[in-house]
Amino acid sequence: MARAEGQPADARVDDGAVIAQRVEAMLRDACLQLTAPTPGNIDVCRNQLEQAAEGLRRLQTLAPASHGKRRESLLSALRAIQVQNTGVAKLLESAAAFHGGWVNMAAVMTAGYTANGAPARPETRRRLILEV
Amino acid sequence: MSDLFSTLHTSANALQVYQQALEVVSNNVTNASTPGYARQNLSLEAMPFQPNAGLPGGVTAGEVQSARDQFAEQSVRQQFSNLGTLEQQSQSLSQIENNFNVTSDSGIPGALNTFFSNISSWSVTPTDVAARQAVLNSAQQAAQSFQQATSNAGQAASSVAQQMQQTVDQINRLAGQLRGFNQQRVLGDRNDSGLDAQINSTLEQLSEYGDITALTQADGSVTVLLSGQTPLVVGDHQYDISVSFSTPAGAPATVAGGTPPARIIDAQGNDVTGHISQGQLAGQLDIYNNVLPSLIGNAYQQGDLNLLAQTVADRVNQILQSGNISDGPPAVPGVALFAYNAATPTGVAQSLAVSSTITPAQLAAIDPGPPEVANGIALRLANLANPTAPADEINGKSYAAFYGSIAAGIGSQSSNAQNNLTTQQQVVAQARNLRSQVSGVSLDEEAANLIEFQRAYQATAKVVTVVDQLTQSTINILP
Repeated sequence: MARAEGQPADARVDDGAVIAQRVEAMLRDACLQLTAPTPGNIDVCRNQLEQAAEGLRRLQTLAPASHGKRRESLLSALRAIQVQNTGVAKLLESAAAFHGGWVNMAAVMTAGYTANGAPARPETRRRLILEV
Repeated sequence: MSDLFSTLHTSANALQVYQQALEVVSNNVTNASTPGYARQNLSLEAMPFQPNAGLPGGVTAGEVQSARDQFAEQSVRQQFSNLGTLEQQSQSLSQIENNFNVTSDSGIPGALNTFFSNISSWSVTPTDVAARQAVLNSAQQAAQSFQQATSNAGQAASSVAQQMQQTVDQINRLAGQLRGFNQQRVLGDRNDSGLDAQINSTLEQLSEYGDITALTQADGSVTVLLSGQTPLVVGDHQYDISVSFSTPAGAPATVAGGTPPARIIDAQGNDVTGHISQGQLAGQLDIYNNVLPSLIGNAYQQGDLNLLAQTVADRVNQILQSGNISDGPPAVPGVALFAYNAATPTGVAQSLAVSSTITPAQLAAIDPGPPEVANGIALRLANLANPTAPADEINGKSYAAFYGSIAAGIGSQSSNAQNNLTTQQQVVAQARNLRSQVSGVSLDEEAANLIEFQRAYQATAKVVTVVDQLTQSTINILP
């Protein structure tokens, strides 16, 4: 960031475009990890998303007011980030929906339904004591 | 002796059980890649062991249980339906988008640009015959570009209509297969893994065409519903759906001459179009009933291309007819340049043409004023390219900008569909992976099972051998 401070706007755009491409690649990898959302893959994915978020933070500070082809290349990379980001969100949502479905089914099997038809929460505080 | 025989009997039973278990493992491994196959397990059950009561124990084979999970299956089918919608939208929108290239010099924007450019040249030399002829030629080209664009969009509509008929036929064909599978299942073995795989593979294929729900009944048959409420298969009954291109009785056409929408009709004759929201069929309905009508119109709207064609033609004609071809005396009023079929608002762009009777000399350039301006009309026409008055605009936009907004809308929809399709392909892969974790065949797990059952088989065989030797020894002891 200190390096970008004294540079002309176009040079900063170059850095920005490179960072944006890296962020996009990280998000693309995260999508691939999420196609098989095992605990291990989700862990890897979390690291990649954290790195991507760090890259985006850097992009915010580098975001230049520039013109021409370089600005276009940065915009193009940012649009690609948006697409991948939407993909990550969708994959996370669908994985969560799948696991949420299992949780609901488990809740229904153990605690039944509430009056409005939603899966009831198992009561964990009560104890069952059997005396023989 | 009786104990030895009962041990022999128990071991022989165990051999049979482990033989069955090995067959189940073998079947799992063989079908690891079979579409629709779910892992099977043979449940092993302990026999009562009370030697004093004559119960020798041992193991018996329980039911062969399928690891198939309906929740996981429904998740995959749901994602397949979403994929089907996006595949259809992406494919059709891409085809439509090709006709709306705003950067090109060809097509409607190029033709309109040339037309207004030629009018501008004519306004500089209003009496020049060549300039007048150029205006007529470019007007002809503009009309043809509208005809071409609507013709292409019309072809896209025909193609989607044809696809919709094919999709409905496919849905009915697959429903027919499922009805047959139901009959086999009710009459035959409910645990037939091959039949089970075929049923689920067929359901998966079906889900790409529409949003389906499959409910397994007590008799083992599968009830299949389209969009959660339209029955396709119930037991050994099949309920065909059909596609109809007609205006519904409750919503009569509001635009004369417009094509009716596509409707999906169930076996009872009910219109179920509104319920279909996923699958290729939903994508086709969206393109046919919403996207294309917004361009070329239907029974309920004129369509933006027709609106643009009509507005351009009307405004150009109006300006020309307000001017004079010659100032006389007597002054000769201007005539219309464009003609179209006004009786059908959805056919304006398709019928747009340069008036067959107009000649270059009949282009009215003179604005009668006062004051009279020799090239006043030509200038007003040239200004249509960059309008300043609301009368020269459509929805507050110049003609070029209005066309640009149409193209941008289609481009944006196409781009979104393409991006969503890529993501949805990953979501389908994810759903399949999750299902595989629940019910798929893990070759590692099957290998472990194989070794486990093989060892158990060997151990039981050893017991049989030992019992056999003991029996022989006992026989030898006998005097």
